[in-house]
Amino acid sequence: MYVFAARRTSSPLAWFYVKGFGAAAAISTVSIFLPKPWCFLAFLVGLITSIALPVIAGKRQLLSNARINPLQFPHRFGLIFMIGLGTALFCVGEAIADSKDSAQSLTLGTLYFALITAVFWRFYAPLGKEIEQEEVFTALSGPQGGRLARDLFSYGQFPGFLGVVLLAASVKVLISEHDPTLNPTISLILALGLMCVMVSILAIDITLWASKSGWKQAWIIPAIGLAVFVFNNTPVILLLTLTIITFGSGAQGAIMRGNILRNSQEVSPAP
Amino acid sequence: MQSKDAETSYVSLFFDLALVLVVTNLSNLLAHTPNLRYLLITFAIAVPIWWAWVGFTFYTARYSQRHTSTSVLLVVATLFATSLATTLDSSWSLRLRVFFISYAGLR
Repeated sequence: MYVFAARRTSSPLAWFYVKGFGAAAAISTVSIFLPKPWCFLAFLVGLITSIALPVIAGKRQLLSNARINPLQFPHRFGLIFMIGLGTALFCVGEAIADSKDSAQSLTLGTLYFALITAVFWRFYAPLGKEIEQEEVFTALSGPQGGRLARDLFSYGQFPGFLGVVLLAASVKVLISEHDPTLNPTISLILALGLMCVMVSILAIDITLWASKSGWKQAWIIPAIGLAVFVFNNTPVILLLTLTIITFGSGAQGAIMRGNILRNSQEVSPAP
Repeated sequence: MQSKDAETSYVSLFFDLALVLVVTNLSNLLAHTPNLRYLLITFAIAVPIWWAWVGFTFYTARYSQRHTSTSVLLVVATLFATSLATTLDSSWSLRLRVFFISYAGLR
């Protein structure tokens, strides 16, 4: 792909990626032909090489000269997050269907649905506002835009992707287990999943909206850990607490963004 | 800033759809054996999958997605992503080679 882009645009970044990703792909291809454990080593070297390339490109000032279209990010990353949440929702339905309508499973399923809705709102409320407020994206199209996009989306949204996978897995196990207490590993997967999702959401709030107000929302990370620690043996209360915490964090974020928008309108009145 | 390129193309969305299968199978893998070992395996598998997807997303955001070459390559990538998703089940270690081939193809 980068060969086509490099020929078309003669961009130094594209040529850098042609060489770098080409080398990483070659190393990954070698892993196919190697026996264990050498295949893992080659695969890892190829992966680390490709992950490090945007960092090296940033150090060589290649990212600042390459134009980027930041408006695609909320659509693509929003969609991938939606896919993850959709999978979690599918798991709720599937687990309830497998559980033969037991009261415990139905309750847990309903609470999981509420939690997924809270996560959905928490993730898409700021993204929707960011799309409306195009000036939020000016940071991504400026000279430091490439580096910011790299940090915020390439690396910063990975926890969110992992988080929705973990949430979906915990849904499946917790609802279909018919166990009134929680398996410690499941509670760990659930807590980690929600924490990972929140880290990615906070990264967006702190970077694109306001660092000071954004950091004030970081209480949710230890709160999730504390909730899992305290309500480890009562999945219903745990899910209820996590849902309330997530909605609370969403409300706090909405108030923060509302204040910022109101202040910016007061500073720069409409022409 | 608002241009036709700001919109996501249908081929990009088609590629994203292959991720549905990947996310579903990855969560199934962990749900099948929910222990710390499989949690680490899920993490180890999620990193290359994420990185491959991010690579395409940044490419289209930087160098337009409306060229025929990009569309054709995205369709090929969708095929490899689907193939990669099929390796993610409880016997995934048996399909390691297919996983490596699919990942190398994606890269």
